[in-house]
Amino acid sequence: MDTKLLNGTLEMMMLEVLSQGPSYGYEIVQTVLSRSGGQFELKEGSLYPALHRLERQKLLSSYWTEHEGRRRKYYKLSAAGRKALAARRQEWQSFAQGVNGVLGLDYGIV
Amino acid sequence: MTIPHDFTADLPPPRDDEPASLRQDIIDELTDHLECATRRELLASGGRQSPVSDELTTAQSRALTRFGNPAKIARRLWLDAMQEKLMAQKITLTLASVATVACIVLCVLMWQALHQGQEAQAALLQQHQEFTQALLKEFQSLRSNPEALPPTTGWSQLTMRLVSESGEPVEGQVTISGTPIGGERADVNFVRDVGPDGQVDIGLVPYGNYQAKVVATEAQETHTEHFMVTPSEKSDLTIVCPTEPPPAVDLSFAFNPPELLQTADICYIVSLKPHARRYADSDWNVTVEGSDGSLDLWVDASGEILNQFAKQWGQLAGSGMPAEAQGLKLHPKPILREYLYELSYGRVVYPLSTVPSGYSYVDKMAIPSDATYSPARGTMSKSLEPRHETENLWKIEFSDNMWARIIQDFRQSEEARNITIPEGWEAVTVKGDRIEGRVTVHERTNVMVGLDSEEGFQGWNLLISSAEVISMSINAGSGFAGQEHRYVLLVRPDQKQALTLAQSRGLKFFLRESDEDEDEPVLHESVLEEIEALPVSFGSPRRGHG
Repeated sequence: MDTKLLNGTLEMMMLEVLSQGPSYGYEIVQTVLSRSGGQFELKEGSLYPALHRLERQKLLSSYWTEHEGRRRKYYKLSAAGRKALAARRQEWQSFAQGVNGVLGLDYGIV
Repeated sequence: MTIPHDFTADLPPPRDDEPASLRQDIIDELTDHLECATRRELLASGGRQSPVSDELTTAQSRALTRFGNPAKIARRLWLDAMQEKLMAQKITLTLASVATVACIVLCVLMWQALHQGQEAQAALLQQHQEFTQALLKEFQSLRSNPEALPPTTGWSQLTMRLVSESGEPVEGQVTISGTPIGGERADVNFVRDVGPDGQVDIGLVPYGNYQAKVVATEAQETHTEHFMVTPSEKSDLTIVCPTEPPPAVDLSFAFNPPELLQTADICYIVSLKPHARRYADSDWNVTVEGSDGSLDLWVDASGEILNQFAKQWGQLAGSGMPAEAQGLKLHPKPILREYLYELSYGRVVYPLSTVPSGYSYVDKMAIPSDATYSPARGTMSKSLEPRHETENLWKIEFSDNMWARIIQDFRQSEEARNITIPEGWEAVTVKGDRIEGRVTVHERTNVMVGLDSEEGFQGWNLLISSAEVISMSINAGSGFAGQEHRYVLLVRPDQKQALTLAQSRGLKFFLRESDEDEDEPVLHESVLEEIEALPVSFGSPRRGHG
């Protein structure tokens, strides 16, 4: 899949994953990749910069825990992140409908 | 399981401003991911709880393959975390660099500006010097050629020429005076001598109304020319001057006085005030410093001008000594020239009969100088046209009205006189604030002592006994303090011998400046009675006056 097309939606998908509850990096990445049905040919590591960017934007907050002797960083959707997710979902729906309409695809993706 | 990978391989060197846990947080997060991924790979390969080395290595390799380069990911995360600080540092460095460059550029510009300013200043100074030099040359050129002088605002070049009627230059003197128009310029007043070329360059004068008093040296006459200097126009005045004075004339008075005055020992002071004469359509006056040119003529009853005596009298009035004793020369009768005169009869004086021995005794006479003259009555005058009986011989006649006025003055002056010098009496005068005389005589004699001042004559008769030594002391009084007075000692002619003897035996008058140490002598009453009994009158004697 074209990475340019992916960049605009990756953060939205991460926010969506975290809207279900706090999660850590590997779990978030796996959830996104698994839900995408293997459509995203991404390196797992390439998702971390997006996570950190969402954290710097105050859309996510984080905390550390101990797991099997390792430190694990959990991310949690903030109130601002929740609002941003709602807005981006709305934008995406409008965009997808528009694109689908143009392409003659009558099924939605959501 | 330990991921055999160096996550910090691509990280920048540690910085002072980076958070202390940043690197470790990145490593821990990525390590946790890779551990989870390795476990997943092992599970996916149906691995055992305790995998062998090859299985683990393969799982780790697959996990890394799916993850990407951990070192690059760690570097990317570190850079993202430090982005703001790095940017701030870059901005700071950039600004510092820009500021440094700006300072350098500014310094360079300032140096260039300073350098250029010095060059410009030097050029300006050079230009100013060249301008000054050019201006000086221009001034010198104009000085040598005044015709090229450009017109100036409010000032004009003024030149004058004194010429005769034939156009010849005339020497003289010019006095320019006047008031410039406008502004607050001071009045102009200066004198220029005019040389043999008759030219005088006054220079620049502010415009205004002026008058030039021109003195023609040879003619001894003066003319006043009024003129205006207009702005920016050269003024060149040409004055036609006389080159010689009017012809001299002999003047005499054709008197025919009334009977009362025919035998009176008087003379008349007559003033002649010359009027201007016309010469070359201009008025010219006699040049006399400090007066209007009037002449006082002393004329006796026969009409003869006695100015020799008058002049001498005037000179000796303050000395009390005969002219011969002072070595003075008599002044000739003034030269009269052809002018239109205004004649003024001044006063009557009594100079003659009491000085039978000659003019040298004029000064010795007790003449009340103003006894017959009252300025309040004014003067009598009339204009006289010269009447030429012969060439340059003028005769002046007094009109009947003038004689009537003279008679009136004569009578009043006779009444005003408070002293009549007896016939044959002689006078000896001394001057000073105080006199003290010691008279030694051998015969009985009378002596009159009096104070002759401008207020009149006040005298005393003293009876001096024979062989008596007396002291006379006369004090002028406080009213005459600081003035110079003339004391008169008169002696009767029939007793003149006694006085002569006395004089020969040492009659002296001692002048003293102060009487502080002297006792004031008081005339005895008996002496005063004798004085009052004398046939001649000297006015009221002042009793008790020392």
